[in-house]
Amino acid sequence: MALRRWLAYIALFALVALGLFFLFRLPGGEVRDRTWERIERQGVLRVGMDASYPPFELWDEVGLRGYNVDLAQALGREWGVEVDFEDIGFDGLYDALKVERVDIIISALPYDPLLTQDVAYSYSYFDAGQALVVREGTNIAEVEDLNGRRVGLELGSRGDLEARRLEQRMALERKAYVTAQEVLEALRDERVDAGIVDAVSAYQFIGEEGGLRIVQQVTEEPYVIAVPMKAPMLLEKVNEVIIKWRETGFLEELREKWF
Amino acid sequence: MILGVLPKPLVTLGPQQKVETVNPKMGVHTRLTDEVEEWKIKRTLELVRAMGAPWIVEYFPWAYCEPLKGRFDWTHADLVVDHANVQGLTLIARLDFVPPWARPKNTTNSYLERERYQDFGDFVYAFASHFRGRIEYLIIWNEPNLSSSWGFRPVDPEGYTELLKIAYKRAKYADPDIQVLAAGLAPNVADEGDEFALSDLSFLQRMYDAGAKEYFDILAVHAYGNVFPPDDPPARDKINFARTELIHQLMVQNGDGDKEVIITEGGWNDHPRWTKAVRPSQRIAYTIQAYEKARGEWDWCLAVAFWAFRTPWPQRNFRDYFSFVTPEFILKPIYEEVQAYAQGATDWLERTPVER
Repeated sequence: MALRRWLAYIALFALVALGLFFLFRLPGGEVRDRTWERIERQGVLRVGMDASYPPFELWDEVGLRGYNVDLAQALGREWGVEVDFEDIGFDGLYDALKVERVDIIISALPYDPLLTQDVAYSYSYFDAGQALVVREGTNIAEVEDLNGRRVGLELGSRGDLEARRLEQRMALERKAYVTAQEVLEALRDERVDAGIVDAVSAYQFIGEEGGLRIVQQVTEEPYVIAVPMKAPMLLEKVNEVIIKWRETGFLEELREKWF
Repeated sequence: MILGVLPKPLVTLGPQQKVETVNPKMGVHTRLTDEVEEWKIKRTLELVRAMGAPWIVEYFPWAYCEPLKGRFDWTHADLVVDHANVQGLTLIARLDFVPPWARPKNTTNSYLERERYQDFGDFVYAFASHFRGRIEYLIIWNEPNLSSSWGFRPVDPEGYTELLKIAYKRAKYADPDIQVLAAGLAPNVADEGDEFALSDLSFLQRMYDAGAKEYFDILAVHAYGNVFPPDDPPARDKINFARTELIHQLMVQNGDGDKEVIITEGGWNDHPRWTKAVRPSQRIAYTIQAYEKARGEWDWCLAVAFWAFRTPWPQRNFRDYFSFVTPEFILKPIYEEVQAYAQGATDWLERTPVER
């Protein structure tokens, strides 16, 4: 009896597996992706975004705009579809994707390894981690060159943590400030020799004032695009475009426009 | 087990330790409930001690300790309590989380019917008996003024008071010296009739009206600062750290001013995007200034245990930015600054963070 029951289980499992195979594969063997099919059929890409994080996404008198808005619009142009934006609170973005209210999340989304069973992530299009910043013309090229230097950091930040760790193996002088902006001002005014701050603050300051440059990403915080787990074609299309944009310099252009 | 010789334990309790600090009211809420490995439990508690915080709050879910009615499993709880004691920490145990056998199907772990209050009382009795001499403080339930912490039913101060009375009597019967804390209430400004919550102040008043006064020794308070500094004045319609003073005033108004409060959750968050967060340097300043405020100004406040020292794994959201130590045991700058304060540094007692 036990053997027959096991055989029945195996047959049932095989049947379910076969069903799933045909469910997600078209007759020609192509992977099926209902999200991508709907985008193509309706000609609309529905983008989930928390528009409260300038310069990536924000509402102002002009309307919705920002780095990620341009990025999404560019995706739409690549695919020949319109883009509809859904402004959703950051904590609700994944749920919106899960219930298919949106097709994709583009919202300065940090890569989250704990969610990779629930959503699929694209390649990174922006690294918002801590960056080593120096004045133009300085011969500091990496953190190993900080020995004996005055290093500015935002107190309590991840950059502070990295500086404290470096301090354990080299004689750098940690100079703490309340904000990343103050760190960069101190660097500009030659009160410190280098700064470790988040890349977003660094790009913003450099974009406004110049005179400084990022020489090394000290930590990584990749921003990625999230798509439903069952949208392999959409994911492939997104990744293809990101690779293309890296090669053509479009991502650099976007960064220079918004920072 | 080779040749019949038992292997030596990999982790031992070690020698008795003592917390060195300038502020004996400092504490943190640890999250060791789901910490599986003993070395991580020990390491966490060593770091709390080394930071200079003599108090911890820890959660002991009823469902974990009594998986079947009358069958108790203290294995993990014993580990936590013994290591805490060896590190010289005073442990406040929070008790709630209804086991499946004590509630109907398709209910949540905060759902407890009145007919089952005695079951919870039995558990409190068993807990207080087992840990007699090792645990001196118990918190009965958590944030019952939220519907989500009351089985997703309308909040019920009178029902909670009934539960508190039963738990108090059973705890004292097991250990007359034990100190029973009424639950920390979620700070909020919801009016009577709100679907999700009731203001902590209104809930506490209704608890007093229902006769709670004789059934707790200390009041647990949750004191989150949001974006405000610790000296931001309290107001009924504002959630800030000093709201604790309104809670204490209410106790005084109800003839209960001789009792102390313990802040069993609270603090500031430094997530870069969360709307209720502050900058990392502000978080450091506010945390230290709050410890100092409790020490210097609030003689009715016995301890301040901030949320949350370390979690077993990353939450990958704003919650990670409440912690002092990462899941990988990397000490955040706030840990080192609080430690320096506990060792006598006074840098952060200024009103605002300054360049140093």
